[in-house]
Amino acid sequence: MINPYLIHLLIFVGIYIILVVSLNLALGYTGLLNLGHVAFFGIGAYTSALLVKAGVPFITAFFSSGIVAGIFGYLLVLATKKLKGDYLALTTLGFSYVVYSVLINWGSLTRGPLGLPGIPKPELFGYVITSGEAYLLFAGFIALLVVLFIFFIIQSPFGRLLEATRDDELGLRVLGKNTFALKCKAMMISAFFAGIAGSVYAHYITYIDPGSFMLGEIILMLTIVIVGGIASLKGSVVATFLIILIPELLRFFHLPSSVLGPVRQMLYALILISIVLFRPRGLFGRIDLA
Amino acid sequence: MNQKHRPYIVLFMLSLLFLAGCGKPTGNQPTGNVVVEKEKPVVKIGASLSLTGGSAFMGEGMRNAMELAIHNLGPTKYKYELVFEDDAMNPKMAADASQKLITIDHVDAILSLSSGTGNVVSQFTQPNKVIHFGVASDPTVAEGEYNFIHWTPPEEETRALISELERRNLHNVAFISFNQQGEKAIMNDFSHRVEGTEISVVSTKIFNNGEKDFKTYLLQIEEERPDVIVVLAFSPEIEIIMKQIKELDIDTPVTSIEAVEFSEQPELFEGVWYIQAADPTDTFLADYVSTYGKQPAPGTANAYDEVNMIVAGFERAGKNPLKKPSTAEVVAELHKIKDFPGALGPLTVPESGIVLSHAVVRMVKDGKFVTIKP
Repeated sequence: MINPYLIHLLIFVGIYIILVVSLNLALGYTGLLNLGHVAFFGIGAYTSALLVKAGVPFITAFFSSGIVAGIFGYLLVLATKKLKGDYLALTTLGFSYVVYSVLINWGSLTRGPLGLPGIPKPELFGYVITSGEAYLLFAGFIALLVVLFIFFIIQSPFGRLLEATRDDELGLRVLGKNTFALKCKAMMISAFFAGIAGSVYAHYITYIDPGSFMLGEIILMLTIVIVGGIASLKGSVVATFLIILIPELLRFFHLPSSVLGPVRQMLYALILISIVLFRPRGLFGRIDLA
Repeated sequence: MNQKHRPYIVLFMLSLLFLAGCGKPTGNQPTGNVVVEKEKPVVKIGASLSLTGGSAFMGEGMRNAMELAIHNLGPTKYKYELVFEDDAMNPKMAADASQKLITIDHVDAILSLSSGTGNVVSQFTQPNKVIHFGVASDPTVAEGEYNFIHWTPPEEETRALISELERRNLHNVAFISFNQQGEKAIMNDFSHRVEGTEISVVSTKIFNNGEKDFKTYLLQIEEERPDVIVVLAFSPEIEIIMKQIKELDIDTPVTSIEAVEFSEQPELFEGVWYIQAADPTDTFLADYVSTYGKQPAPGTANAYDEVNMIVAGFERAGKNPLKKPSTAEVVAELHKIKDFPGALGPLTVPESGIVLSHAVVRMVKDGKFVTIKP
């Protein structure tokens, strides 16, 4: 029997696989340097939590979380239509801050900084997923579906068009392709799955607050994408295991607290620096960071 | 070795290392920093605290107090061990920490710090029948029979503030507050309690994390001619607010709930009276200062009491010294606690699980925090 602590960590691995694989679709495969992914994660978490607390069935809330996040994804692409590279990164980061500000200040809906406690566990076809094992199956199944879905996308002609958008947008437009529509679709799919990940997260941890969807999370997601390799599904999955589980090892070393925090941060930094120095394309990446 | 396979081999080795770490501790293997005695059953008290990050001073204070409480225990039926985990006051990390404490360390009780992390820890302790004491202002942390709160609740602090405002004949109140859980709870309760009284809230300004210029808020507050400005903030914002009040020549008196003692520049608050969560007793203060050479942080004395109440619960519930009682039996004993001699004065655990303690009025005199109304 698997230890419940390991089950708990594997559930988080599943949630982050959904997040990172979907981020890689926009960032790696389409070339959209999107730092607003964490906002879609938050939008999904709050949508699902608020709907279920209002009495909406979980399955409806689950898909709504993805749809609402997807709509915001479309709006973000619309607003950043003429931006790319660093400018797009800064604007999408700004979007994350806007969403954070709305979540923290719209107290009547979100309870602001108090957060939303007591989010019910998911109920599917009359069965309430309460045990860790069942939740791991649920999160793992969703993660597997998302990975397969994105795998089929990138193998399809549409996926090749996304990669062409990343590599030579102008060339693609000369060939008569609507690159804006391609970016919209990629961002909406990416945001949809980030919203779904938010729902899985909120109903597992049962408490969310705006602080859970801020800069630290997007840095974590980007670290995983870079370590795994940009535009590599396999890399994203492997790197999620590494980045989520390695810091947990520190808990078994009984380090003094004055050392623990810096060591945790240094671990991420060391992994990133090592990747940049020795494997600039990440563990399994196909394109350079530049 | 084929270079292509290297990442898989590294991943495999790390997985093995991790699984080894997750293994059940065997026999008398030391856990935390205390060695297990064979004769007595061991009661493990875990803690999910902010030992890193901006709130580490509070987590460190609680950890010190827990160790002090264990050190000061007299003869007991059972052996008490402490296990600490860092959550950096982050809900996700608190979930990791509490899962590890419950399923790897098999703790009997967990202490947490803050409403955000407390709300997460309580979701894991309740189904696992692990006792949880939170230093938190949000009452939802105490939901469920295994969850408790030991922190002077916002309603007690606002009651003390209203009483002092009435005594000083100050009726028009303005708030400038950080947008945070505890502060929000205080303002909500205050607004609710002053309904129908002579006291009214004439202005409320809420700022978010990262704001540094409060002059616009302060000038807007001044236009409403309040009798007193209540500042609810942490360091460094609270110091910045006090400096900007002086720069703007605002002479309206300032007061606060708890915030003053979060400042490392008490000279900025000279002569300011304020409300503080229950006062630590002189005995605890002397003991703590002589052991650690510094003043306790907010929550420190609470952690000391929490450990002692948990120990009292186990000792009272335990009929057989060779077998520790179930946590359900301990919870029943905890609910019987009345006028328990704590570091924060006499403590009572009501049915709600929110330990009753009283707020005090304090003042900054010669750079020191002095209680003027216990």
